[in-house]
Amino acid sequence: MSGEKDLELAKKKAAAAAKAKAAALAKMKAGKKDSQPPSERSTDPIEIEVELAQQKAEALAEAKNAPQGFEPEAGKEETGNDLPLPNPAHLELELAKQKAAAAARAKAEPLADNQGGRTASEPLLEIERFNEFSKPLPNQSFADMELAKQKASAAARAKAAAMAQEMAAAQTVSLSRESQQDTNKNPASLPTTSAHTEFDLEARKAIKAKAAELAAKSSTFYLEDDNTKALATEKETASAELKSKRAAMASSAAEHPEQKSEPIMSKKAAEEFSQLSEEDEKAKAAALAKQGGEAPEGDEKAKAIAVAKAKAAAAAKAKAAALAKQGGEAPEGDEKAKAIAAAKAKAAAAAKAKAAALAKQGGEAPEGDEKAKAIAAAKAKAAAAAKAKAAALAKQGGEAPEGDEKAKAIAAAKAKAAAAAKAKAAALVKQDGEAPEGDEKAKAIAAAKAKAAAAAKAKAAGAGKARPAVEPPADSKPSPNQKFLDKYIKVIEENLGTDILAAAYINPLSKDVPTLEVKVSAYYRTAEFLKYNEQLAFDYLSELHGTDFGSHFEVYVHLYSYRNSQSAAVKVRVDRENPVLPSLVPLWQGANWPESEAYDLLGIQFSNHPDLKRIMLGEGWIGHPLRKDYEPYDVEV
Amino acid sequence: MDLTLEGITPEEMAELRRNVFLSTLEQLKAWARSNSLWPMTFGLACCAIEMMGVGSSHYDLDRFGSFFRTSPRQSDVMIVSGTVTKKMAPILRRLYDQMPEPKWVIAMGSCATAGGPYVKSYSVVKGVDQIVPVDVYIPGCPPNPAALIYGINKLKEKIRFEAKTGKRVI
Amino acid sequence: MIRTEEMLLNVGPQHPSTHGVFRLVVKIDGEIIKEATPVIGYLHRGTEKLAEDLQYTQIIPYTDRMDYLSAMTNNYVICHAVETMMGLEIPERAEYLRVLAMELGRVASHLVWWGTYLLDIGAVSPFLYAFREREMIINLLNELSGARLTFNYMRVGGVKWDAPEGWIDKVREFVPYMRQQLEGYHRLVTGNEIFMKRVKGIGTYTKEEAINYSLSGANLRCTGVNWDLRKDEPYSIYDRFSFDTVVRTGGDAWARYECRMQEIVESLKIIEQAAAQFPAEGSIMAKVPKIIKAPKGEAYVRIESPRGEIGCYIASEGKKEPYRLKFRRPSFYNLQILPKLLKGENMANLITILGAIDIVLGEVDG
Repeated sequence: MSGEKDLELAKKKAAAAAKAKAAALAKMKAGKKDSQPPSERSTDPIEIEVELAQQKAEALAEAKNAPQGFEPEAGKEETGNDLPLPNPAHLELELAKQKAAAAARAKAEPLADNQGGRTASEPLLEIERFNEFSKPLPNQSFADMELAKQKASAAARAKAAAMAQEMAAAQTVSLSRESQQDTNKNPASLPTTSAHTEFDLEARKAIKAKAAELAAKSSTFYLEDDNTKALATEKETASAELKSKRAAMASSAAEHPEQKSEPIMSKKAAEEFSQLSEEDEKAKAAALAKQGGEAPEGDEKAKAIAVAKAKAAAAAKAKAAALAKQGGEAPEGDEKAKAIAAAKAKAAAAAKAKAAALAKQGGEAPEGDEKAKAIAAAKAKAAAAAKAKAAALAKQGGEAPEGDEKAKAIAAAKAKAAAAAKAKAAALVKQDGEAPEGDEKAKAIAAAKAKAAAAAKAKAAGAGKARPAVEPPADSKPSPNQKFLDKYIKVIEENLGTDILAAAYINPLSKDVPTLEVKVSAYYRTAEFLKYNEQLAFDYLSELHGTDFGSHFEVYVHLYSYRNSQSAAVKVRVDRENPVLPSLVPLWQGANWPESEAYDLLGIQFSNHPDLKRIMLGEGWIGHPLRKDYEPYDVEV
Repeated sequence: MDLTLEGITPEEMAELRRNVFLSTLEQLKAWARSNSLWPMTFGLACCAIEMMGVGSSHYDLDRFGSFFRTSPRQSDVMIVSGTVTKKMAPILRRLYDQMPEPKWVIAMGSCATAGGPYVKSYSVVKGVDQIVPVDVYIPGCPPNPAALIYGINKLKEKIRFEAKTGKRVI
Repeated sequence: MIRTEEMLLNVGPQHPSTHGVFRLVVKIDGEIIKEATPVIGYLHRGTEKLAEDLQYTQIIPYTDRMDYLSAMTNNYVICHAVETMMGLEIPERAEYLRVLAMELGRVASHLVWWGTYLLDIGAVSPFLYAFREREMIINLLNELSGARLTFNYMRVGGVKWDAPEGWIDKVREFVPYMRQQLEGYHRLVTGNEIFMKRVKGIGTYTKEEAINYSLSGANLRCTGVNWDLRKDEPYSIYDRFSFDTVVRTGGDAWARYECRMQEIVESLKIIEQAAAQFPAEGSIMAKVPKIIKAPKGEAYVRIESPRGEIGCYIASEGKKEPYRLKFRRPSFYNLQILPKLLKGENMANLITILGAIDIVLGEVDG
């Protein structure tokens, strides 16, 4: 590691300086003493400081918790002024650096003096100038430190100079010129000698490297325990060998019930919970199918049928509502959705029996979420690929306008893979496209992979090529946040029931934020759940405001989870005639004033609010200005 | 009152002519007042930042004899720097009433002058002159610090002119 | 026993250290604050209502007047919101100009904070130094946009004006100068015994509280939360620059002071890099229609302003005016924690605590 190397270097420099000093000392003791600087800081301080520098440099290697600091403050540590310095490590390094630099300078000095023919009395003058220079500084502690530092360096130089006089120029010349220039400068600019800056840079690099390493280690979240837990959870989720882990998770979920919302969660629910977390990606229909007891592994047909059944069931369950939802969504739908639809249509045309079934489901798409559609499309495509390469190619070519080159490449890769290993590889591709995290599928993938690997290396290579590339289209086609949305929906529905969400979708206009439309009755419960559930943990309320949509009010809440680095928008429709909502202040104190503002400007009542007042306009104001039908009470101008 | 100028040498006469002024007390007062206009720090909005800029190192209002007082009871001129809302208006009036006579008001910026960009807003007073009498309006959104200095100089001019002529400048 | 009586004390709305029209009704017992009730709204101008009748380009000047100490970030947030909805690609040169303008604005804003904060707690001269340097930044931005405070510089799709001849060089020259001055600031103030006594351990809160109260910016980072939208949800071209998120763990006024001062350093880093990478030529406006219409739907974006997380919510019906425009104003959210911080504090600490939050009333009141 470069950081350690740098430290090594610093130590070496310091040691060399110390040696030089010792030599000088010996000689001075033997020879003339008149050229020595004032006695009290002639010898010892320097040695001690070099020692210190070494020690500190070593100490730094351990204490590397803060990447940046206030440099001008570096001094205060030394003068014993107890400051609440948050990152001692850095300061210490700074100190060590300066000292090491001073020592290095002391070493370089003799060369300069030999060339320039300076006498030893000059450094003394310099000390005086230092004194003069640093006295008027307003900050006494800082000035003191500055003084001490400069004195130390000056002393070092003086000593070195004395040594140099006695040592009759045996050194090389090339270095001397440089340091000559430096010493001829104003003493105030000495801290910027080349040796110093160079070392400074190196040390800085070292710090950065360390900080980066540190950051990588503990991914810099503020909740360390929870974070590690979350990470562990994620890892668990990701790993394909699951059964034991799933059980463990389920039990742990049962063990750590959350403060308020958990009573709802029975053991069984917990189990399902963990399942769900592992199968973010999978459509709900698939989950239903699984619960129905049909093994989705391996056999393509079986799976397709299962999915079909599940979807049909889901459709039967909430067809009308979903359709209505879709209808609401469709007008604002973007090109992507259209493209997907087109792809779906093509897939339907290409794929025969299975694909037809799938396409039908795709057309229905009871969940109304794009991901499911995309999965359907992908499945259809993959199935078609398994059937006929050419058809698949054509299809994917048709799909290309929507995507970038990558998508094309992936399509090609898919096609290749399909060509290579007909059924197996097709299944593989399909599963890749569907759910990189799904546990059941992961197993299937693993199995398929193993088979494929055993079958032919080349094929596996092709598949391998396809795998990393499969991710981007999954990003660009539906949305990178789709899996989060699915997770939210599942977790909420598992724990609070299905009668919570009026709608849930990805808002492509708003940086793909997962948006949950909640029913008024479940507003507070959902918010509470979003905050306290361990998997969701939305601890930060970023924004809360209301909007008058004519027929109803809508309160928009933007939440953020520092633990999961995820955003979510929660929306709730409020009756315009009797706009009452439970307040969120018991959950997030930050909702206090925003709710007051919404009350003031829109007239939305927040029950259970600690201090609901007309925060902006004052109590005497008549009317709510942000309502669309607001008429000013006092018409003027 | 008669002045006896007998026995005065021409040199002394010339000296007298150079050094003795005749003026009215009003003008003298106006001269004193106009050269030590103490504005009240009455920052309301964006213009307040420019007002701070006027008071700080670069524009240095002190060289014109004006420096900011934080209490209305010690100040001569109120610089209304920013948007006056309906909630703020009564307070502004009270502060104005707290200032000792003689007092002046400078409406700094277009909000204080006439409501500015917020003229259509439901909560903004359309010009501070609906509440207090204004002597100088300074346009701009916000006015440059130099413009504020110019406005203060205009006010000085006005004070002296009124004292000299006895006419009100509206 | 000495019998004490509670007293009501009114601070503001016209008070030199509230930096505007902020009012606090304080119930005190001797020197100890029993309860503090903030009263805001004295500068509520109804921008959001006005914006419903204005075209997007016409709204931009209003954002200048919201947080008038860093108008550039406000400009950016609304442009960014509309651009996000429209899916616009911004030309590189425009992005660089935006970043330069925003970061210069951030430095200027922190300088104003530094000067006035110290003015509030009794040190007069830092104010003069801070405004001296700020004036240089203002001059730079003036050259760029033609205004000193309310820049109205950005547009949906780019910026209004290209950098004038030699402007980038001036920015480059400014960076080392500012660094040097900053050192002087530290010598002048940081570590001063009196100053330290005034800020150290005052107004402390934990990170859980900070998050619960929806604090953002330096107010959040001073508690140890490593969170800067420029780094963690990169917008514009911030992912191209190497800079650090400034985090302190004290959670007191001193930590906030440190955060802000160090943020100036980080901003200077960004300015330096942006000036170095600045493309020699290129367009400053994306291809946008003459009349900008955001697509039907809604969007909420948030960026990092000097005061914290500034957000913009737009609900559009596909017309040239927004149906509803709402700003998430960081000062408004940050100020909420004030009553909690003041409770039980000494009266003299009121100003220290209030000042350390760094509010701009135009932003608090909207």
